[in-house]
Amino acid sequence: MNITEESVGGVSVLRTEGRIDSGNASEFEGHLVRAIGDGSVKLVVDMAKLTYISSAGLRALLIAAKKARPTGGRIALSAMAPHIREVFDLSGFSSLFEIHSDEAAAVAAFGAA
Amino acid sequence: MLLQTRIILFVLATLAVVAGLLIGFSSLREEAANQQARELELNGLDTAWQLAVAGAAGRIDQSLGRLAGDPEILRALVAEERGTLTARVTALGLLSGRAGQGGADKGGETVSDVNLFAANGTLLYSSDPALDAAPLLNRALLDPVLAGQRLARGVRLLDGNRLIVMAGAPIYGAVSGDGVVVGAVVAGLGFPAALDVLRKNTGGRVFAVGRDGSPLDGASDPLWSAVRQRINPADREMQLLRFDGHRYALASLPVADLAGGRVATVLIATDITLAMEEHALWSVAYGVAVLLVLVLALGLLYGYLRQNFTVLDGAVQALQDISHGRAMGYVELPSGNDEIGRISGAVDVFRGVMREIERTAGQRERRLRRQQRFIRRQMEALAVTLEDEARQSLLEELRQIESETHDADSSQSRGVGDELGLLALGFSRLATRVSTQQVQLTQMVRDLRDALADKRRLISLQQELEIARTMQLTILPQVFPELAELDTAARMIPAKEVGGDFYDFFPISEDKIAVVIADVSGKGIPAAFFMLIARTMLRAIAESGVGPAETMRRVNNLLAAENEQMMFVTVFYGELDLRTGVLAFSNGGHNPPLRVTRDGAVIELERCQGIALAVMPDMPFAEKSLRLDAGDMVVLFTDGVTEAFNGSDTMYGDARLVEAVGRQVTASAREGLDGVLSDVARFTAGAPQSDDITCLVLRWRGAAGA
Repeated sequence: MNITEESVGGVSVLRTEGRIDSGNASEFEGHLVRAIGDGSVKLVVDMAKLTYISSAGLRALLIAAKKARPTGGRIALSAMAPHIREVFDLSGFSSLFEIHSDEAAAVAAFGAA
Repeated sequence: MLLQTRIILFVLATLAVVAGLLIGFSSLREEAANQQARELELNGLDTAWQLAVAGAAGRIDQSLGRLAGDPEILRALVAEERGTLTARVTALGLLSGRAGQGGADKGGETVSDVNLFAANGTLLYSSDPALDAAPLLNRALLDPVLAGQRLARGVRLLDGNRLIVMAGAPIYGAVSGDGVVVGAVVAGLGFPAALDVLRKNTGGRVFAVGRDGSPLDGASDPLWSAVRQRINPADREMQLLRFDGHRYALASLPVADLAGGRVATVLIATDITLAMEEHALWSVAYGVAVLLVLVLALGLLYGYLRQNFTVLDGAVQALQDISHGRAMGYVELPSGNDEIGRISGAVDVFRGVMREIERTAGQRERRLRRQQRFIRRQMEALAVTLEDEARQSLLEELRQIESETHDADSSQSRGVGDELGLLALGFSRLATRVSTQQVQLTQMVRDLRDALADKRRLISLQQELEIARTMQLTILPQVFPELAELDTAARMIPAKEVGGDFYDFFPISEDKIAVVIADVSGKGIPAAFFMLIARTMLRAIAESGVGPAETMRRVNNLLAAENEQMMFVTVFYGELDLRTGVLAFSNGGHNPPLRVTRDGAVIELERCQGIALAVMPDMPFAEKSLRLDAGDMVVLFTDGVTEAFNGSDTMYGDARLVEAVGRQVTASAREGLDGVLSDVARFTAGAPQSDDITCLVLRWRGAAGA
């Protein structure tokens, strides 16, 4: 797993790469929690280069979403590969997150909001 | 500068000074001797001159005798007959031809001047024809003659310009016979006559000059031109003269007048060329002889010094060798009681001492080496027993000790000089090391004890975990009821860490059985607990017979209520009616099971709305159902199956699973389960398992009543 962080037009973008499994999910969670911080944050988790995400990874996203909710923060996911989209669909997580076709669309969606 | 050179130079200088002094003294003495010789020579010449004058006077004496003995003259003198006297004197022919008088030489000596005096001193006759002719003698000179004394012979200057040699004698009266002086006769002879005698006597070349230096005689001599420049008429001296390749001794003799006063100077030049050459030759010979003696003496001295200094050089060389630490080079040095012998003795002593020192140093070196070997052996033996790092540092220390031993400047090497210095150094290092090791060891033992305690705790934790895992496994049904309608098999292959998969199979009524497969998010004890809770709730609620969707809804609400950890679980829950083969199911975010029909088609069970449980309360769960045909097989699985990775990071995936399941058309539930799981195992080929792999297989044989 490799995660880079960048700010694009006032939106934090977390680019994930490789595999997120139970071994490194806590690290992923750490990144997410840091990105959200205390304040109202718009966070895009880009999954263009993500090859795999386990249920532990989903849980990390869930924790981040729950943490963001009280302060009005929002988390969007972008550029999922089909098999990852499948995971989200199967687990029903698709209904919990905003999912965009690519990073720009996600950022733009935040900008429009 | 070498001592040898200094001594030779000093001797040379001393010799030079002494020789200089000797030469100076000898030349002074020679000068004095020469002076004396010149004086003697002068005296000799003076005597010769006196003799010459005397000779001339002798010649005059004959004339005087004849005059004094002539009776006629005697008579005429007494009678004072001037004419008779003149006639008689002329007749005697004593007068040499002078002034044209033409006196014939009658075999006797002649004189140039004659005076006859009366007893009273009156000049009765003078050969000088002048009227007032001056007497040859003045009164003061005449009186002693008249008194009967013979006149001292001498030179007389006449008329201020004419020099004669003269002599006078009294004339005694023959008559009385008692020796009464009746007159006096004085005669003179030209000065050259004396000079001739002198020439004859001395063999030299004679010159005469007047009192004013004007030449009187010898002016025709070719030597005169040289002589005239050297004339000091008043001085009685001896000079050296060089003329025409010859050397002459020029003696200058002032000639006194009878009446006193200098009237002329006679110069006698003697050819001394031969003598001088001889003298020069002798001088050269003498000088050469002296030089030879000097050189010989110096040579002998040099040889002697060299001989002695060669020995000294040997001693000095030996000393230098010793000072350079080469005491072994042996040089035979002479013994003796002189200084050289003593030095040689001292050198021998030094050499002995140096050898002793070297021997001691050699012993010390050997001792050091023995100690070094000993320490090396001990430390190496010690090093073998140590772990690699400690061994390296010990060997490094050993090298350090050895290098310090050879480094003369290091502080330790000074101590090493002692009898057991190196050993002491080695042991002190060893002791330091041992105490350091001891401290480290104590620390390590403490750490080890802590680690052991930790390990014990860990083991107990692991045991607990193991218990949890065993629990997790044991709560899963291992044996399924033998049913005519249904063949069931299931297995969970846990990952290394305790995970959260589970399956369940239980009857909910006489005709219905419930089948569950679930996957709790995360791992470890929390997941295990969460799984237990979920399973228990699910069972409890399912048995109440509210149907799949309602069961899911209730369980979800219960789980989501107190879920700080944000755990969740995906659950597939189905109820199979054994009478009809109808399977009603609800899916909470789980992978849809696969159905294999008798013709080998593999179909995913219809998807139905539902999110993983515990994520959020009050979520809707749909319910679907299907009727199984006899021979249908349903395969329930967790994502541990499809998401199993092999060594090259490839996922097993749905397609492979579908294929594997498709091969189980005729298999029993057990065979189908094994077939699928072994296919997965083949795929992963031993790659580490990251998630629980869980699979449950149902084979519907058909309703019992059918």
